[in-house]
Amino acid sequence: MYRTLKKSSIYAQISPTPRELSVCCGVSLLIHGEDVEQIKEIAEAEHLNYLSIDGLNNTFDNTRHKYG
Amino acid sequence: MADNQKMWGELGMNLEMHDQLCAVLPGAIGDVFMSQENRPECMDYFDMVLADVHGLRPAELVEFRKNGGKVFGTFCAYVPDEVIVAADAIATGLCAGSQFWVPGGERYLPANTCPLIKAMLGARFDRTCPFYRLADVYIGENTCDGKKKAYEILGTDVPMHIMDLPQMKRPKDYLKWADEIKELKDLVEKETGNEVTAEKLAEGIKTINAKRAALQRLYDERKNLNVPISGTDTLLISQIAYYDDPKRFAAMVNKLCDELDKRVAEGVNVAEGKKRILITGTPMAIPNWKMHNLVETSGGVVVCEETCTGTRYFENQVDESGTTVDEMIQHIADRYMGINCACFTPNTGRFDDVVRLAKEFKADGVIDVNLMFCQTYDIEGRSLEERCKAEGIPFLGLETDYTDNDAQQLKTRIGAFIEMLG
Repeated sequence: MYRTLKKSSIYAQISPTPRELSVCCGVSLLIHGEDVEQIKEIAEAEHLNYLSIDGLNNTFDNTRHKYG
Repeated sequence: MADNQKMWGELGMNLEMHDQLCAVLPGAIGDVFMSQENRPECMDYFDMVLADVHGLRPAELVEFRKNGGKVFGTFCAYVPDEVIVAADAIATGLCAGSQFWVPGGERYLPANTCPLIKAMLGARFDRTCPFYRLADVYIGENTCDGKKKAYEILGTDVPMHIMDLPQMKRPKDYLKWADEIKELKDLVEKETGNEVTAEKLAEGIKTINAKRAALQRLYDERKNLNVPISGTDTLLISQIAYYDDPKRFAAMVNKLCDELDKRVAEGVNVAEGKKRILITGTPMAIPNWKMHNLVETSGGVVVCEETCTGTRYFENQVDESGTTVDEMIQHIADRYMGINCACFTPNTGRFDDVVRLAKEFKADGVIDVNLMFCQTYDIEGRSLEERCKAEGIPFLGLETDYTDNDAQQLKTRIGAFIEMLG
């Protein structure tokens, strides 16, 4: 999925799955909201599997300084 | 993704407690890594490894063990992976870089023990790290009193082998370390049932030399005035070096460096107008990204780490000219004895390294970062500061732990230091 999106010049960033979406950690793709429909079309055309596409109201803040 | 839970359960992990770690890590990774702009595309491999840090590589180790393979857990840059690889076994770093594991370690250790050692015991006894569950034998080393005594406690729960690292660098100490490496070879052969032949050891030396060469190439990219990759991203790569498959890791680092070559040619700079900082001091085990995040959000860019998660891990190669196992082991010993750790006396070689690297990487200043209660590095800090001052290199000494509590105070000090650099 990641490689296909990159080939199509669609923004995708490999990232950990947010806790709100899964308790199993695992890999997710971070995508732009405006690309969702296009990504769904590409996934269907290329027979690419994914569990779900979800939106979260999270922001990245490099000055939060919380490291776990 | 459900497979991870199943795997962790089968490894005897404390799922409920581990879930608390899973809850905080994605946020920290987002803040520290995903928030950065203009990252190299080839960081995607390392992002993937990090994103599923307790899933992807542990699954490979589970499969390896199912087929009879043995996994050796290590804690230190002095343990020679060459010997382990030569017996067709896997060496994996046992990281201890999170505050999450510290309270668990405090149940066994005095409060005034360094956080890395506390985290080490917490990760094992709380059963919240798959790597600690997957290592068949732990290889310790006496690089400090805290670790040395903590290994006795770890040894009550898991097979431990301790390597007696000399603390001076006389000719007889090099021979002594070679003897210790021979003992490691004997142990690895016994555990795996595989003989470490001259041919296998030569191959192991080449594999690990190639990994070191890839890391050296990555660091060389950072010598450019236009910095093609952040210190935060490079630190992550150095941390992953300890537990990834060495051949795949070297290939991925070289692929990244090909991209960085292009970035350098195109004049890409991820640190426009920022001050170049060399970090020296104690190791930064995954997921300890605190200092890099603080420096790189305070007007600085980390261009080099003179640490065990930096140049100490990869500088200098093992001489590949040995033909017998004994010769090769002596060459391995010679290379590893070249690492300048504060457990040695005297350790002026480290001061020479810091000064040399500060020049090579065109550092504007040096920050010496030591984990709280790390006595050897703490004591050495004064002499290092004097040497840097004598060389005209601006110097800041800091002490910290894994908590977030001192982040703002550190930021104030780092910000003032960087401002002072002009």
